[in-house]
Amino acid sequence: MRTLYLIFMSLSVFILTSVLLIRQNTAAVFGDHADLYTITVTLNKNISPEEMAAIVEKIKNLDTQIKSAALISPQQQLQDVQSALPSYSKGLFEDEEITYVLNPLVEVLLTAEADLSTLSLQIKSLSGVEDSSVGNVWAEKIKNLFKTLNIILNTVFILFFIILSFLITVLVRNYLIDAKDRISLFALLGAMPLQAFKNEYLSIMNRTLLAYFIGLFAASGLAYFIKNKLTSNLNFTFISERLDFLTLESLALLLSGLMLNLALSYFLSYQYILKEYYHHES
Amino acid sequence: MISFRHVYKTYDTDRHALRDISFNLNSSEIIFLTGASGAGKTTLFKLLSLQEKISSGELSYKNENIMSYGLKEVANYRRGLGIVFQDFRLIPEMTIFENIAIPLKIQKLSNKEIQSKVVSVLERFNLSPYSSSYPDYISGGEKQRVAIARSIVHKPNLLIADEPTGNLDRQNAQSVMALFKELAEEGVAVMIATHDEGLIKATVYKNARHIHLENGSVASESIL
Repeated sequence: MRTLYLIFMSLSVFILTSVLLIRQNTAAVFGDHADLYTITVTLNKNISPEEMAAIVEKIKNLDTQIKSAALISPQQQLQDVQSALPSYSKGLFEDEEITYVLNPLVEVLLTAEADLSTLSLQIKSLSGVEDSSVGNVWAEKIKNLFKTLNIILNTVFILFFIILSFLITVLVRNYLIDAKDRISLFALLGAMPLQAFKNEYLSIMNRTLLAYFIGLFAASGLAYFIKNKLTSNLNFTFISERLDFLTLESLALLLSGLMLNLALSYFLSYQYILKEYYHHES
Repeated sequence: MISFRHVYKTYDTDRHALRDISFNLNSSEIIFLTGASGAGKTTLFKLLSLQEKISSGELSYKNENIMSYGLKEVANYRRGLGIVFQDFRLIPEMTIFENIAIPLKIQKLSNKEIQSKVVSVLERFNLSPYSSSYPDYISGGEKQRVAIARSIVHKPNLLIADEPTGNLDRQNAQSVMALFKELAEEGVAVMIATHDEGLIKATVYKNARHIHLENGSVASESIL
């Protein structure tokens, strides 16, 4: 029973940690490509520089998911094309009048969590804006995929956490039943409930801590192995650079789970012993 | 000291483990309890050790209703109790010394006190050579002596023993009985469940009684 408990706990902590690592690194790999999440805003040609600046300010203040909004004047656009395609553009843009053909643009950078379509529509409704389009159509798709994956991972984590807590409780109870001869002897010789099961509880606690350590160590080891493989064998350095081990938040989440399980098992053990050996119910 | 007044213990509606049990057990008294299997001896011991609650009647200790005891009072009452279990109930992972020391550890005595009390009972029961042995490596008779040693090491007020001489030869059984008489003379109330009628007849003690149970009731009660 004791070995079974250790194996089961270690495995569960390993799975929980892995889910947390996948969730965290999915966000790191797919969620932080800020350049993917852009909206290109086309402004009307006939508005003044002051009006342009005002629109840029309005866009910036539209939503907290907007990281930046930068105005790209027609002149700037021409310079960009010239520097990008010097041989093709030679002489093409010498006529200054060409700048009148171009609309001023605003490039809006957003966070991965931003709702691109809704924001694009909101921006389009602003006065002085001619059009607004999502920079990369496929970015929207990736973002949705990422969102769905995140929801699935969160659900898996919560479900697993609940199931794990329930199973731990059952195992702790069985553990106590397994040690009932010893506990009942102590109770009959005059021990108070805590005295009667102190040794058993300490043993459960030690095993739980050991299992958490094994699970965390194994999951982190696996993550380190994958990171190394991505770098050395597959040359996915850009992904590898973004991969990280558990953040402080994730670690705190796992540790609070540990505390919760220990507190719950203590409470249930105490109740069980009160009822079983002292005929008391609190 | 202990008083049973019209005590009933019912497990199912139609199954009485004990019915209308009334008797007193006082300090310095020994009661031998006999009866066939299922007569109610074990149930009576369970009531005395507060492992079970009575269904009706009154069970009191020093004029207090022990069924109304709170958690602390239950523990305190049990600390004044010495129990010899039929199956010894020794902890295999503990040495003989540690097993005997359990009641003293529970009472949080100092290591020095524990050492002197345990050494004293080890000598009394000729168990000193086994002090650091483990229960699995001693004989049945030795285990029984360890179980008895553990039940008296803390000087209980009430001693209940379930077949305490079952695994002992005649000579050891008589020396255990001599010890129980000694304890009774010191003021301990002793209740012994036994099948050994010969042991009862051989016991010469001024305050000894014999209660015979049949189907959960007292069938006969006599002064020895």
